[in-house]
Amino acid sequence: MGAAVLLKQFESILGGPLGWQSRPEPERALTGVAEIDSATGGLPRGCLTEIAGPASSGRTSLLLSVLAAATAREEACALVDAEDAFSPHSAADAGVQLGRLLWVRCGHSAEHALKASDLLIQGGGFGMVVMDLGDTPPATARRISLASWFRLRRAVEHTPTMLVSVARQSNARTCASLVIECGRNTTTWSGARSVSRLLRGFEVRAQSTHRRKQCTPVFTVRAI
Amino acid sequence: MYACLHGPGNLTALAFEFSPTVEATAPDTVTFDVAGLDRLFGLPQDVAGAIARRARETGVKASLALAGNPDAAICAARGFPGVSLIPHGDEGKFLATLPLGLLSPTPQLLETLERWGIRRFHEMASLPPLGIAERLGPEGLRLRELARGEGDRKLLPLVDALQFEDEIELDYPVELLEPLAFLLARLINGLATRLATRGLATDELRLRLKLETGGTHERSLRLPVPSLDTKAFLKLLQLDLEANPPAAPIVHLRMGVNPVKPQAAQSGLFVPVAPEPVKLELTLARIQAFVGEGRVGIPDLLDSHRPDAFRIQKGTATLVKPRLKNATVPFMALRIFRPRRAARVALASGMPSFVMADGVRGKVLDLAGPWRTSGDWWTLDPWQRDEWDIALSDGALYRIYCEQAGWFVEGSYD
Amino acid sequence: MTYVELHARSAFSFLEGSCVPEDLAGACANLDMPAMALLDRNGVYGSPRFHMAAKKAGVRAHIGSEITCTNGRTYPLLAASREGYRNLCRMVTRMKLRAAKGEGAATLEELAEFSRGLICLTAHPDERLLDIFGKHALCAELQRHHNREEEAHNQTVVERARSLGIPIVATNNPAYAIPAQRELLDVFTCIRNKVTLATAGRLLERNSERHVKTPADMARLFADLPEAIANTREISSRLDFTLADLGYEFPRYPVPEGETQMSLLRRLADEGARRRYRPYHERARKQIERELALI
Repeated sequence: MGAAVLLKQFESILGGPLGWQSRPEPERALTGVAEIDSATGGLPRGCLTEIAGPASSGRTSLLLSVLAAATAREEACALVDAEDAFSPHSAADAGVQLGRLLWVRCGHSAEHALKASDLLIQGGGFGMVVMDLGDTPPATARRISLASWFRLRRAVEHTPTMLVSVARQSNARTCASLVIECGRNTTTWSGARSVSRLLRGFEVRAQSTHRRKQCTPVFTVRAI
Repeated sequence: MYACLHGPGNLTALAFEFSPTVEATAPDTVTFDVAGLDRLFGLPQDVAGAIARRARETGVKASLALAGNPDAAICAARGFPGVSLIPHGDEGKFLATLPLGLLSPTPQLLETLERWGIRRFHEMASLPPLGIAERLGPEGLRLRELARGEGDRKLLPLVDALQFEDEIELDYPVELLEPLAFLLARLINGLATRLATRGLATDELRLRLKLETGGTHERSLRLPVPSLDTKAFLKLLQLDLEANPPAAPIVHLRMGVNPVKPQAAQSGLFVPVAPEPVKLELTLARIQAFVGEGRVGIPDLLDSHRPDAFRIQKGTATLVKPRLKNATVPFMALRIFRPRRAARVALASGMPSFVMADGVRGKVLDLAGPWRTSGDWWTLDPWQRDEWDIALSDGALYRIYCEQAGWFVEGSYD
Repeated sequence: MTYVELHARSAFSFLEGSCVPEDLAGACANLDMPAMALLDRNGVYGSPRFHMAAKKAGVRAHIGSEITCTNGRTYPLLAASREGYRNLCRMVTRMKLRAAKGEGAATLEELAEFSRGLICLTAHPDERLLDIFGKHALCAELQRHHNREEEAHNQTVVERARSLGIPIVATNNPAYAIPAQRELLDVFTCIRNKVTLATAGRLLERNSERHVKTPADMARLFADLPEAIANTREISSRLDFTLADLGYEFPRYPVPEGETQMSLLRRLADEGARRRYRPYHERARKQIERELALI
């Protein structure tokens, strides 16, 4: 018996078409990276998005682009920085309006980061809350319980807040509505070696799933 | 219609809650104009009831009198305990039994009257005015008028009495913060009500605690916007005291607020999302309690060539215009290692060839540099450094630098 | 390898340079640099002192100026010939006459009008400049002070130069002779902008690299572009003009047919003296004769 027949039977018993698969699509906010936007439709509001990848994979560049887009929309954003790794100069170069960014420096404590994110979400009013665990050792990030992730997810549900986490690997499992896995493809250098060498940027290959379809947008990150 | 309060406590504040025209008649007596309050409360006894109720709430133990003229009310408040309500026209009859000393005449006058056997209001009231004028002069006439309850005058209103301060003297010292919270709540609520009746709010709370040891502990809270959110105030004060506890048990509390016009903020339909200021202040105080002071705020770039020069601003900063706006291509971000990681670097013909630091280790595959900055030469803390952008065999891109103290990894490009 | 600094600046660029021309000439002699060009801002004020000091030190002193343009850019111009020097001075005079002291800028049209005999270095080469100066008198200027943004700019300049077909040339644009003088320059910058050292921020120098560098240092910095170093020598050899070749000439006075300027002057003096001195005595005659002989 096929799934379609089963569905028909369920529907005839329940007296109407089943709505459990067609939850309303959450509103999406553009990331400022055209390739990511066209592949994933942007980051969902009221949901948890995970940006994952190893060091130098372009995660933070993508994050700053999202922050730049959000602050340009005049949304208040909060960055909970577990490892105290945020560079305000980088952010300003990326176009983030720092005046709209609240920076919480947790000083190497994932636990504090979790607690601070929770408080900020409960307080409400932010367009975006970021939990940056980008330099947190994977083992520590793994130890964050599914219950904690669930609690965060529930807290943003039905709010316009985007919750974004950045880490070495995806940690929230089913609690994340969107996972973007980043990886660095090629690094661009210009000029002659040892004289006029210049790091120009790199290409990022992102991997994600949108509407149950795999997509692999590729975007470039520039340095100057 | 006038009311008079007589007794200990902060009578002026109570009076101002009901009337803008308040006279501080004496240190323990306050008279105020309650004309028109009947339209709000109903009969004069309802007005009296409302004032008495508020007095109980604020812990003021005073006698209250309402009368058609201020002096009759003052006499009644001073002469009778509890609430007195003098019907219009019956002032003389109502005050008849009170002793003349209540009107505080000069000692000579009082002595003369005493010798004449005149001790009470009604005795004075029934003397013929012409005779009094002949024997006691204008002062005697004034006394007779008051004794008959017929005195009529204007109040001398307090002009600048908007001192929003309140205090509590404790019978025994309080050490724990929890019972202190109840006292704080009482002060905050009282002040907030007084602000609210005047259509004001506050953007600053000052708390001054006298300690058992004789010292004082002062704290003040500034709010980003004027507010009257008593719950938030209380929580903020509690968090602040938890972070900065007083050194000894507390014997006296004094709280003052800064009266300001409330912000007329209208939330439009298309206004972008932003946290509610007072609530945010509370959230920040809570976060600051565990991440530490000065670690939450808005980043602000410093105007300097010094690498990673910034400060953290508390409160809402002015909007910084973005320096680059090419939003279509994301900018390469630097993740900074704080604290900086000392590195061991092998050089080949003056350039790094192998780098080893905490969590960083590898052969240099490609590199760009040196990028040189120096400055602040006139200070005690000058800097000079050569930066290199390197691709390491561990698969990551780093920024390393060399200064007088040696080599360091500043962070990774990500 | 020889390198000639073609874009030096002295304290005669008011508050924009922190050493006297003698320091620059001395630095050249110390570092075995055969020549140097002093290009002060909107004028040739430092040239006489530079010329004298360079002569003493055995260094060839090239003359030129950095001209501020109304488009907000600054064009370093080198005087290649006496005509070029004349054009440079005329341009400076014209732009100074119409503006307040310390202000004034030339238009691109004026640059074109006075372009003959001048060689232009520029960090922003474009077709317009190529039209004005031509392929032989326009060079793309590269500077390397260990700065990422500067290097990125250099790489675009090299590309532009290749597509325009103009030579590239390396300069270090020194504003002081030795690194220690950078501190004085920072102080000058503060005075110029009316700020203090503490509040000047990024107005100050980024590092202390704008001193006179040795030819060897410059060759190392431009190891990937040896032609940029070679071109400095080549340009230097094309700069014929120094202050020694000033060649001052008095203006000519129109004289009637059959007379020279001198004979006309003699005749006029004689006529005047006869009117003035009555009688025209011997002492006056002698004095006039002496004065005329002097001329």
